[in-house]
Amino acid sequence: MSELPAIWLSLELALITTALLAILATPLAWWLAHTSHPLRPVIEAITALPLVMPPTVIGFYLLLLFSPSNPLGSAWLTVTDTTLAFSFHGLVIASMVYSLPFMVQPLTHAFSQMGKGPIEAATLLGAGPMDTFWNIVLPLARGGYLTALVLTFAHTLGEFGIVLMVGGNIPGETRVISIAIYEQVETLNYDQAHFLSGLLLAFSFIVLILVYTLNRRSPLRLS
Amino acid sequence: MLQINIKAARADFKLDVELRVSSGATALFGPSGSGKTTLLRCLAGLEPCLGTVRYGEQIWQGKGQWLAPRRRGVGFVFQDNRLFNHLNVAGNLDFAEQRAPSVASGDGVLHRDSIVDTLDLGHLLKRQSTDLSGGEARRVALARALLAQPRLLLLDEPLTGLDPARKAEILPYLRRITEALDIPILYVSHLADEVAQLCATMVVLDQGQVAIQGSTRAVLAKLRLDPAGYSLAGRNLLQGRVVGFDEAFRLCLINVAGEHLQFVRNQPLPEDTQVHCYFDPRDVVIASERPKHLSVRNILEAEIHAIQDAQDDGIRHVSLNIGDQLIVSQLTHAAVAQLDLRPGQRVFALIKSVSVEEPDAL
Repeated sequence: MSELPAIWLSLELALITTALLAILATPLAWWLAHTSHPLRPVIEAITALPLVMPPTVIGFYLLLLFSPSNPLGSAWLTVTDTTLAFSFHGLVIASMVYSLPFMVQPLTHAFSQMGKGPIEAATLLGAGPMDTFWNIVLPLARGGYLTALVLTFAHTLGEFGIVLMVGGNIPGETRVISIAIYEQVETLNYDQAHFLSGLLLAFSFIVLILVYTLNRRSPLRLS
Repeated sequence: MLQINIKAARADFKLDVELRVSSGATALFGPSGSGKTTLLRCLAGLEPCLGTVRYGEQIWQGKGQWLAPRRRGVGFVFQDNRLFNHLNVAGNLDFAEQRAPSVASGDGVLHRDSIVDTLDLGHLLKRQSTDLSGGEARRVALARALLAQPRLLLLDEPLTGLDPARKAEILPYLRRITEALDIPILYVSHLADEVAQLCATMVVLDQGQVAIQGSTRAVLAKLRLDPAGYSLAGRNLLQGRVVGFDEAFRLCLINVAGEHLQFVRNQPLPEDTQVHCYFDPRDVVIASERPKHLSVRNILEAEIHAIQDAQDDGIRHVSLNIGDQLIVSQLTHAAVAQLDLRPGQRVFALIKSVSVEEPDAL
């Protein structure tokens, strides 16, 4: 099994990206669901951009951003003594940008469906903000979280274009499954390509079945 | 004692309320859009407003001070209940109980067992909160608000949206609670009959301002005399004590300021029970002499208090004093002119027994 490191790297990338996005996207989705700020459509559009942009375009801009001649790239270089481009860390940031809408949109939908009612009720019963979040908001939005987490994870696992642009093909560092498949096909190594593609297909299929089953069972359905 | 002096501008009206609320049930009454719900939300701190709100010595808001809503000790029963759908009934009650300030034991009214008992929730505790009828959900919402050991109870139309059977189911519970609690209770409603049964005092809001306030009976009487408020005041209300029951004819007899009033009732009521009776102003006939040979069984001596015309539409509202209670009779202008009715005149009010409804049948 020569491609085991690629599989592990993919899983690691998807897991880290999903976890970080869950934390970052929660306040953003909350704000989008409840605000009437005039800038809301702009922010909403920005978070949806990765859905419609070609991965190569996002990858290109990220590559420029990661360059040590730009503030982000140079700050990273100063702090860690490594570059963001063609590194695993760069890949995580790129994946987060790429998968952002898959986390934000289901959460925004869940939060706006919930409304402010349960939060007001909990507040008047004496619950503080964190108490309300953990014991009321999170359980009531669990359908939304489940969808968001799974979609983000699966989507990150399968990304290709951005990884190629930002990460390249460094074994153990940036060589994820999709890159490995690409290379196996290029070198006419169809057996390996079949195996990896089948793995990804089966995984995605099972995950989606799981999401739809669980969402049906939960009383809070995402329409 | 709750002291309110607040202003808030909203898209469709301005709220400008100065009010003192003491312990016991006070009705916040008025047409929809008069600012009742907004006032409740401002008091709870859920909506911003200008001015001051004080509870006893504690300042809830004012002069740069702001007490977070969760520290105000406000029990709020929302129109839409807002039960936590991911928890069952017991879970909803636990949530409130676990976060409630500890109270001296001995205060039995707000203890869990007593609340569950009063609201008859024992058999519902394991039920999922999405699995309750409208009336049951309202009772759970009420229990949850009480378990938080509130210092102020805000009830936003707790009977609205329920069919008559459910209303009749909840009314006795509400009455028990409003009678037992020794905290200020603000009860929002737009139904006079409901208010008359539950609240001793009453505040009428009109376009965001306090229009009338005082004892419920006096306020309702005033409303009846006011051409604009007339339609709000609802049916006539007479209070009296049961003095007898006629098993054969199923008639309940009550004493209203020395006069007797009877109405049809299936079950007898114990003597001396305080009873509220309702009837439509159109069902009150006035006679200038005591009539004979009539089917009408209720003939009450009364004094004309005032005669009003809402619009020049040929209809007159004649208000009558029966003892210290006030009812209104709706007559044609022609009838008033023909009988030559005037304020101060002694007359007889005729009320058909079948027109009289007694509250628990509501």
